[in-house]
Amino acid sequence: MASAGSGDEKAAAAAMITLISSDNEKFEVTEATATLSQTIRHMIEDGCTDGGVPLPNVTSKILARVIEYCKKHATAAAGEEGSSSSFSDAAFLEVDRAFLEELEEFDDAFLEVDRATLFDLILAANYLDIKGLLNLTCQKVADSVKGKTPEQIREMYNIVNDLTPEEEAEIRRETQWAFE
Amino acid sequence: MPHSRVSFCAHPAMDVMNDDGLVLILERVDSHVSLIRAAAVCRRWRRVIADAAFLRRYRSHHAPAVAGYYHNPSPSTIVGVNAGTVRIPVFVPSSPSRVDSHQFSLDFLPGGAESWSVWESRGTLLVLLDMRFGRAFPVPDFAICEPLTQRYAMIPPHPTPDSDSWGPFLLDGEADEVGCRFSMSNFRLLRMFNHNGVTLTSIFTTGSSWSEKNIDPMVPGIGPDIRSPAILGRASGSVYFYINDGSRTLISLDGSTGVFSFSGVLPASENWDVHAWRYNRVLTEGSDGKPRIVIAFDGAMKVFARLDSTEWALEKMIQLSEAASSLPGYPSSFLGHNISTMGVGFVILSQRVVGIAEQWPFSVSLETMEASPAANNVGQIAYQCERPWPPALHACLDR
Repeated sequence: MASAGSGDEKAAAAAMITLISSDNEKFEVTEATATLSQTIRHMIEDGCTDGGVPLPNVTSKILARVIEYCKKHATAAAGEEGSSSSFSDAAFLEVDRAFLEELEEFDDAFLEVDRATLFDLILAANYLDIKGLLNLTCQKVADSVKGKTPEQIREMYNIVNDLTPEEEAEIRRETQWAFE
Repeated sequence: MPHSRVSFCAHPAMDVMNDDGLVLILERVDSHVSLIRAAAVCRRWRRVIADAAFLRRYRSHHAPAVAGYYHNPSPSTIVGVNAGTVRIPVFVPSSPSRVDSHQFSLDFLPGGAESWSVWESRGTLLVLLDMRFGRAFPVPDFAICEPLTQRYAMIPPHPTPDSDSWGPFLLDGEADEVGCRFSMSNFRLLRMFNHNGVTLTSIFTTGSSWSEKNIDPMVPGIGPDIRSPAILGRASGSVYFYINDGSRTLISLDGSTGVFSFSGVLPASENWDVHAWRYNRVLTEGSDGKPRIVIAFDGAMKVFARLDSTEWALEKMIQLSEAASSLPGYPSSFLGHNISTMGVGFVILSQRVVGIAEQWPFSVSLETMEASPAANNVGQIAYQCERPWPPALHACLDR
């Protein structure tokens, strides 16, 4: 794909950043990929990325997934810039739409993880300040609550019910309409 | 925060998630119902949700929960369907299983519900017009009320002579710490009035009176000399007015800020004269949240949308007889169509049938332009009434 290809070439010419996971694994990424994280962007701006960026809150397993996400979305961002500055004819818009669809499919597939991984991704996305990833992962959990009763939510997420039956009854009375 | 090592179990505990993460998840929960249920999961979730800052943020990102709609009795020109019933404002719940309609009864008002007609609604509040003395000529009395809490107050009369005035229109008050913008002790009302040929506005704030200080020329850039603005309809919290001076100009009043602005020019292809308007032109909200003007004339229905900041253009058009002909019981001979009710994304038309006093209602979607059977007409405009915000979250909070 034209847009993706030019994005990769552009990225290859850019500076590389080393990210270091909590278990001391090193990941080489392009600056375009790394700066999807606002946290890392600020570190680069402050010039404190020499010798690598230690990320003591993120394991290598999770960091690998985060980088996978950022790579895909950095390419997308580069592709969008390319298209708006050059062509806007129908053929090019078609490519754009196909690419957006591909990105959506990528996101859907990316979310096919167990809940523990999903929670770790949320915490990592929050720490690294990656808006798109944070929104994607939090929305996935939020959507799982839709239409469920409190009991079903507790079951789904292994949450201990620390409310007494009397307290639960009192809570329901306050907003009875939401439980019917 | 130390990173928790999660063992491989099928259902990991939510315990690994810190409060920051939990907030990020819960503020994305789709609806008020889901949020209130989530607040009954455990003490921690309840504490996170009942937090004032959380509630304020949630409210700013999520549409309020609609309890239902008030409809005034049908105007006398739409005959038949309501004949014999008591002519009072009717409350239609958005979800009959979840809403106890009795809670929204207006019987607590002086003189009972039959003494009042709904004039405006915003949030949980209604502005009502006193019908006890007919149209209460020359100075109509208005009341504001909150049906759920059964509280009401009379609105003090406006100090200027009322011969040429519009309103009152209900505006948001100041958002409080939980994002609640309206209550019986927190609302604003706006009136427009004509003074020596100049249209001015005046604002009433709770706890004070009509404020002379807030009288301003209406729309910057349009000039204060706006004659006969006609209310065209409401969409997404704004009231739209048509300026009947031949310029085909619309202005709108933003109900959250109280600010008027220029809202585009209607296409020259139609006759927009106010005198031609009655039951065949309305403005409502499309399912995309943007305003639509619908006209039904000469057997055709046209939908106009805002093309850009300055222009409106024809978006869709159908022949009503073709669209409705496949519906069961379609009366093939008819005299014409009225737009009897509108809502978000649809209008309900009533077909005037030859030789029959009753009208034959059907609904048309503004998105697909497809017709579907409609329930009996319950009045001309639906006034939305919301659930109170914040929801009651008082029990079991360890403060």
